[in-house]
Formats: sequence, C-alpha cells, structure tokens
Amino acid sequence: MTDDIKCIIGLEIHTQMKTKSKIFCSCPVTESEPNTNVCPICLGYPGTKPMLNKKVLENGVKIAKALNCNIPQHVFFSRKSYFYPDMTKNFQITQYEIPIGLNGNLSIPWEGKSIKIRIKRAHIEEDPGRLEHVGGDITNSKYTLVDYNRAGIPLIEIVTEPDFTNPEQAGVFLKKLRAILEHLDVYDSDMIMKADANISIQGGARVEVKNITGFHNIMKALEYEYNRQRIMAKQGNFVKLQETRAYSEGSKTTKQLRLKESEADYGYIFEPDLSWQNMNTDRLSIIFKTMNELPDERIERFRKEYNLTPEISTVLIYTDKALADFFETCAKKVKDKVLLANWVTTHLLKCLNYNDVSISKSKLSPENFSKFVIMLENGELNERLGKELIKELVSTGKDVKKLMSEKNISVISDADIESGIVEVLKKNEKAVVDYKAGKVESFTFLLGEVLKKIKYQADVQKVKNLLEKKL
Amino acid sequence: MLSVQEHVNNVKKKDIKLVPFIREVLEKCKKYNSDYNCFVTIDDEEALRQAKIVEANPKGLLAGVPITVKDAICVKDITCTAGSKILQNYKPPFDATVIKRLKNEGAIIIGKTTQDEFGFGSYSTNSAYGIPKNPFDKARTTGGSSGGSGCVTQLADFPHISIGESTGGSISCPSFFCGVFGLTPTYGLVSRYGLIDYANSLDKIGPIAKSTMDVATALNIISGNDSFDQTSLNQPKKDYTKFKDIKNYKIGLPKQYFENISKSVEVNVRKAIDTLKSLGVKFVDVSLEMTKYVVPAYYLVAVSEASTNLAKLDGLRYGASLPFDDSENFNDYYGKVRSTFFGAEAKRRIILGTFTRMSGYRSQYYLKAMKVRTLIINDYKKALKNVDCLLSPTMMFTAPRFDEITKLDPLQVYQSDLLTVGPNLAGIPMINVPCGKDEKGLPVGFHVMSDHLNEDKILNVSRAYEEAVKK
Repeated sequence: MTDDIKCIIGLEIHTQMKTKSKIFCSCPVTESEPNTNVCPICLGYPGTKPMLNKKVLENGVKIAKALNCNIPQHVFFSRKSYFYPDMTKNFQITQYEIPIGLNGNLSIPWEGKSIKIRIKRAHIEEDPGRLEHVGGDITNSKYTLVDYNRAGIPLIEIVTEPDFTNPEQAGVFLKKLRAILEHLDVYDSDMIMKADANISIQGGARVEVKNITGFHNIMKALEYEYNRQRIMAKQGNFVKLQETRAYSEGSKTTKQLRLKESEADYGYIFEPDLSWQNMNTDRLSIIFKTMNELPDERIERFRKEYNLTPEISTVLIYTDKALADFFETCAKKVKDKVLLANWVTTHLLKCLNYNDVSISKSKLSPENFSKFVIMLENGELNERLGKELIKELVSTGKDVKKLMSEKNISVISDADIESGIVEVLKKNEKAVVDYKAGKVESFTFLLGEVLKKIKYQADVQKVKNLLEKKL
Repeated sequence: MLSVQEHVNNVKKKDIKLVPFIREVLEKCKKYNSDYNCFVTIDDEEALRQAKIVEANPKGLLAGVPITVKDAICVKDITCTAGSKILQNYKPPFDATVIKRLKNEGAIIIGKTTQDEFGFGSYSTNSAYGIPKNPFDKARTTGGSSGGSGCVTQLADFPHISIGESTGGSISCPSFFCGVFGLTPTYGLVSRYGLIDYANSLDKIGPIAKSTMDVATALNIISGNDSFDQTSLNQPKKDYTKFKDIKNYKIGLPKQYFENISKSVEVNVRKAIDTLKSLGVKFVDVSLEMTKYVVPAYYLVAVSEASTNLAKLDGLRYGASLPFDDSENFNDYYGKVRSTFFGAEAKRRIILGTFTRMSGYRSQYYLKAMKVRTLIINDYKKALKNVDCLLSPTMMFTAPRFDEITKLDPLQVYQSDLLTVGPNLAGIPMINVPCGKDEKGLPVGFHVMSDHLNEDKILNVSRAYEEAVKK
C-alpha cells in the first residue's frame, strides 16, 4: 500500500427514491405480479402525458442540499432517446443540461481527518422496466420477458468527481451517502443501490465497471479492479485503451465487455410535456424546513447529549439509521449512555451481523434491550453473562428476565459470594499464605478459583473487593 | 341551418327525436365519406348508444350535438390511428380530456376524421387511409392536416362541431381551403391529454365549425386546466360566447404576410379589411422581422420532437405488429415493423428529426431553433403591444389541385405553411374567418391573431365580420 502507484476512482451511484407512487403517474411502487403496477401513462400509451410527482422533486432537492450542491432556479427534464425493450417509450425522461444538483461536495472521515469528495451532479430520472431472460442470460436464453412494473419508478443518480484514491474511501463515502439518504427519508435500506465505477491508475487508461448491484458487490468489484490494475502496473503493464468491464458476482472478478467506442448519442431534447418548475427561494426554504437531521448533525448531537465519541456515533449512524434510532429509544431508559452505545456497537452488532439480520428485522425490541443494559448497569448481569444472553435475545426475542430464569442464570448475592470465598480459601491455604507473604500472583489465582466456584455469576470487580476484604 | 345552441334547445325541449336524428347524421356521414373520404372511422354503435342516453336525459351544453374528431385524439374504445398504419388497431383505453369534457356536456361522438399521418402534411395527402377531397372541387385538397375535419364541417347540413388539432397550421389551413371557421387556441389553454403527439411543445386542440358562435361554444367546454397535462394553463374561465363590439379595435397588418400571396386571396382579404373598417376598426401596418426564420425554426423544432414521439411505436406493446423471426434481435424487429407501417413522410421526419438532435448537430439545429423560437415569440409580442389583433390572409393561395401538389418537393410544401407556422410557433391564438370565394368558387379566409389568451378578441373580430357580411 505504501508504493507510489496512484489510483483514481470515481463513482456514479443510482438508487430508487422513496415515494408512494411512480414518478409520472399514480401507480404504486410496491412489489407485485409482473405487469400489474402499470397504467397507460407508465406504459407510454399514445396520447398519455407524464405528470410530475411533486414528492420526487422534493426528495431531489433534499438530496442536492445535503450534498451541498447548487440547486437551479428552474428544474426541467430531458428526453434521452434509445431503443430497448425495457423502455416503454424508447426514450427515458431524465435530466441532462441542468440537473437538480450541481457542483456539490461531501466530507468523509479518513484516517482521523476529513477529506472532501466533490459531487459533479445529482439528477432525477425514471427507471425502465425489467427484462427477464428466461432459461439463461442475455447471451443464451431462448426468449426474454418484460415486466414494466418498474417502469417509472423514480431514481436519483449521483456522480462524483474522481476523488477517491482507494476502494476503502469509496466505501466510507457510500456508507455516509446511504446514511444521508436514509436520514432524509428518501431511501429505504431494502432498496438497491447500483453503481458504475471509473477506476484508473496514473499512467493507464480509464476502466469503467458498469452496473454493479448492491453495496457489497460494489466494494468487491472496486477491490478486485483496483488490485488487478495495481498488479499490472507493478509489472509495468498499464491499461492502454479505455474499456468497459462487468463485475461477476459468481467469480468476484471483472471481465471486459467492450473497448470504449465513441460516446453513445442519445439525441437529447427538452421534455416538452413537463413544464419548468420554478424553484424560487420561498419554495426551496419550505422544502429545507422539512429536512430531517443529517448524519453529521446527529453525530454532534450524540456527543453533546450522550457524551459519545464521533467514532462510536459513526458506527451507530452509518451502519443503519434504524440502529441509531434503536440506540436513542433505549437511551431514554438507560442511564449509562456510553455503556449502552458500547453494547450496541460491539456485541449487539456482531450478533446481528452473524445472523445476517438488520435491527429492524430482528426480534429484539428496544424495551427488552434497555432492560438488559439496565441489569448490566446495576450489576445484576456481568459482561460474560450478557454476551451469552444477547445471542438468544436477538434470535428468540424472549424477555431478558424470562430467558435468565429459563437458563437458570442469575447474579448471586454477596452472602453467596462470601461463602464461596470461604470455601476456596479453605481449600487453598498455601496460596493464602503465599499471598500474605507478599506474592501478588496468588491473588490472581485465588480470584480465578472463586469465579470458577460461583460460575462467574457475579461482577468481577465486586468479587475482587470481597476477596480482598476477606484476606 | 340551426346553430349548435338552437339544436341543443330543441333536444332539451324534446322538439327533436335524438336517436333518429343521429341515425340520419350517421347515414349522411357515410355518404360524405364515400364521396369525399373524410372519415377513418364512423362508429354507429357508440354514437347511437350515446344518443339513447342523451335522449332519455337531455342535459349539458352540447346535449345531442354531433361531434367529429380528428383521428389523432383518443376516444375510449374507438380505433385511433392518427392517420397511420402503425396504429391501425389501436383502441385507446381512455378518453382524451377534451372528449371527456364534450361527453359530459351530452355531445355525441360520430367518428374520427381523416388526417395526414401524425399531422405530417399541409394537404392531407400523407394519410394512410385515403385522401380527403375538397367539398368545392373533388380534384382539390381539403388542406391539412385536419383535412377530414374541415371537409365534414363544410359538408354537414346539420348542427355539428369538429375537433381538430394544429401543430403548425393544421386547423387554419383546412378551415381556409374548406371555407369554415377554425380556431387554434393559445398553447396550453386546451388540455392535450389524449392527443397523439406530433410535436408536444406546439400541439393545440381546437374547434372547427360553421360559425363563430359554434366555435366559441365548443371552446367554452374544452378549455381549462387539466392536471393530466402539466403544460395546461391555470387561468380563470372566460365565456367566449359573450361577444363584444370591436369599434375602436386597432388591428395590425404584418407587411411580410401580404407578400407573395395570390391575387384572388389578396382581393378578398382586402375587401374584408374594408368591411371591418366600416365597423370602426383601425388598421395599422406592422412588421414581423423574424418572418423569414419561422419555417426553418418551426420544422426543426417539430421534427426533433416528432422523431422522439414516434420512437415508442415499435410493434411490441400495441398497434401493428409482425411475426417474430428467431433470427432477429429486437432491433431487427423494430426496424421491420417501422419500415413496414410508417409512411414516407413519417420516415422523412424521423430521419430529419434524429439528425437535428444528434450530438455535433444538436446545437446548430435543434438548440438554435429553440432560441430562434424565443425571438419569434418576442417578435409577435412586440407587434401586438400596440394593437388588439393582427390580421393576414390565412393561406397564400386557394385550394390547389392534387396534380399540382404532387409536383411540389417537400421543401415547397413546407414553405406553403409560411403564414400559419409563425403564430403556431409563438403559441398565440388564431382563427380562420371565411371571406368570399375566388374566381373558381374556392373559399378564401383571413387569419386573426392576438396575444396569448386573447381568444375573446379574435372571436369578437370573427363574429363582427360574420354578422356584417350576413346583412
């Protein structure tokens, strides 16, 4: 990593925008049987006209604002023409000359500092339909079916300048971007993020990896391509011609699709069926007022309100907005916010990841988890027992107290600890003598024996104090 | 002959039996069609069904009025071809907004009128369903593209309104050649929802009828904001049938619009100007400096938009289709369908319109034409600043013979729209007012234009002239 091979990465990210209905008609955006969420408008029937969903425009404005973009005074749309069977009109309504957001930036934390990633543009467009290549893929299937349910679902495309120097930075950016979109309530965590990535090594030609689906695959594709080009470069072998590659989920590699031909010609014209939207300062300020707290603001608030470090807040907020919300719900009941945050970001998160479940889909309720952390706070539970319990709290959703009684787990009383100590001291008279003669190691040994004796059902610090007293 | 309003009164008073009347109208229309080819579809069943409903419960401002509709406008479940073979079996699953409004007022839809394919033409000779003939001389054109509407309006000896559509003059031109009143409203006054697009930023739906009063009656009903068309204007409703005196009106005569016009047209229009002078109208000469640019600017904008509109007609979802061949990919199939079913003029405009928006040419054709269009609008605004209306001949010559038309090259045909494309490009309202006949007995008309939303002014002029020459 410390060699002087310089890498440049730029991203084009597409994702669905959260709305109740499609961008130009009132069809729902929910999952449904093929070709059932359609109407003459989204099917582009002759005579129909698009009607702009105002929510889409609002969402676009919020995204542009959160990415520190310039928002134009007039918003308009364009037609991008090309023929493809997933297109109902053989043109896509999109934004071309002047998008909803222009020349913005987003700061990301990197190696203890903050680096600024420039945003070239953010634009709104409609999704085409979905092709299903029956019995194979596009190269070998016998026939292809089209599902137009997706036609007209609103999308936002965000294009960065080539400001990343490695895939990890791109990863941090994507996590922060996702957190922003979630906090703005314009994106749901189950929506799919897609990306096209431009990657090059200084001295080499640009490679575009097209149409990578999902955060995980985007990272894998970037890492693969980054390493491929670096290894080539180390051998003095650079990518010579601009090319387009595809990422394969199966092999986790990229392969060449085509050498870049001349720029595709989409014959853009202004969309004549949609009137210009005047985004004057009054209209914008109304939208801005409805903007939710953004991740950076939330991190700052967590510091002030809960005394959390930015690092731990970042984990809470970037992982999944619902996780940060879960933390805040619990924080209403739990006194020790730092203890709570530590448990959420370490043991709970590990457990969720292990089970491949998100906090909102897991069975663990914030009430139950609060109870659990309060017990830790009061010494009714210790870390060791807590770690044992949390797995079942997540997978079963059982009440923590009920679970403890079922498993016969409890923290024992001081008297029980003391009688345990007495027994251990009796059995290990030599160690007691050694300790009294000044051998410190003997204390550690005795403490271990006591803990074993009481099956760890007590707070270690407490046992330590009692043991010292007895000795 | 009864006016539309007199007829409506009779229907409401049950002085006329509506079903037999409509049956008679249908028979007459079939006769007109066999002689003049002015219909693509006559729908007896639907017309009689509506007639029975209205007869039972006669209400609405157009109760029992026979309406014919240019074939580019969608009427639910009635074949809608827009004059093209590629839509030979397209039955729209919805009513255009204008149709919905007419039906709500008790109008009876009789059938769909012949037109140039997608409105591409000035003489209705580019129709895929036979060419309509001029009621005054079958060897001559009706004009276009709403040729069938102009033709049937002249032929009808019963109360009737036709709904036409104009992109660059398609209401004014056939109204002139057929000797009827035809109003093209301000762009956005009448909803385009349900109109099969030619060039969306130019298309306007308007009424064609035998009198100013009938035109105004229809305009009252079809105008007004529609949420299904975002370009429709939100303006307070006007009652266009309340005519005002035109004494003290000042009307501008654009000098460029009297150049190169035929003698017989000039003589008749000058006579009409004298009649208006006798009514107290003052005339002044004005200059429209941008006139030499209107034809190229119009055609560049129109073909650019038209070529994208026609892209959706690919034989996949509705309209004409052909058997799939296993050796074909989707592109081959689209090509096959489109070369089979589009007519020559449609193909010409697709090719032209694809060229004008190609990268490398886009800025010198499409974008430049859009800029010139703004200058043309300003040119009209300037000329209209000190006058109420502008007046000119509607066409440069009376209806030509078909054998003369076939000798014209496309550019000469485009040039014959010189007087109508300017106001159409500017989106200002205009009306053709019949004013006498030439030496061959062919109708002449003058064009009254005014600033955006001044439909009342041009109707006042039309009405005053109509009343004056009646005496």
